[in-house]
Amino acid sequence: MAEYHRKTERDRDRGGRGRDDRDEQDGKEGYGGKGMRGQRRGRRFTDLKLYEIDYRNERLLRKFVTERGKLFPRRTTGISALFQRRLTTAVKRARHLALLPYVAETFK
Amino acid sequence: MKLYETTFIMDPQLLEEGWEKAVARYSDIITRNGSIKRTERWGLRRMAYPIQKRTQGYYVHMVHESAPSVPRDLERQFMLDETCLRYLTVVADNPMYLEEMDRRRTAREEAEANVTIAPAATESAGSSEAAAS
Repeated sequence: MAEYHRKTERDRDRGGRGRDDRDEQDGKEGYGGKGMRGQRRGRRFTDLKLYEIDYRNERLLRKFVTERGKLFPRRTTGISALFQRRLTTAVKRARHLALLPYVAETFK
Repeated sequence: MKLYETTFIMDPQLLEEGWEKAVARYSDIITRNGSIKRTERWGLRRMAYPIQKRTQGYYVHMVHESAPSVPRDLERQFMLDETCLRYLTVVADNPMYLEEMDRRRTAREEAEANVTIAPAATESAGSSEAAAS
């Protein structure tokens, strides 16, 4: 009698494509997922409100730029297209007012 | 009439007197064809990069409801004014921001007021406050 592969709990749960948390090597959380291509996934700004994105809100904007002062791409910030567009104009206005740097030297 | 936000940075060397004069001068331009909703003095602060060899600037932020000629008039004056390091006028597209910040500020102030009253009332409140800070 042929030995059938019995579905295990693990197999049943997998359903469909994509990685799930069991594919993660321990301690490597934050990488991976579909389409992430190894790009470090940033903090999820789930409680971000649209009105908070403002050129006067320097403290918030600082979270979205690198040490050098460059904007993070959307794949890293993980925020919606609308938010990212507002963010971009806000950062540009803040730069004009010298609230944020255009370029920052890495030493400081 | 539209709601505008104008922010400008004055030379820190003008000192208090000069800044107040500048605020009065620009307020005057606005009130000729509009009304000022609020004037915020962010004060002397370090700029992210030097402008005209200055590392600090005196920031003033104004919200005003004005005729479209006002931003134009302001811009002309800002450009002539050599003590103005930078200016920015935008149509107020995010009125909720200031409302929310005001709301948070009052909430914070109320909380602080409560904290200052509490230690006087009980001994334990004072010690827990010290632990928190």
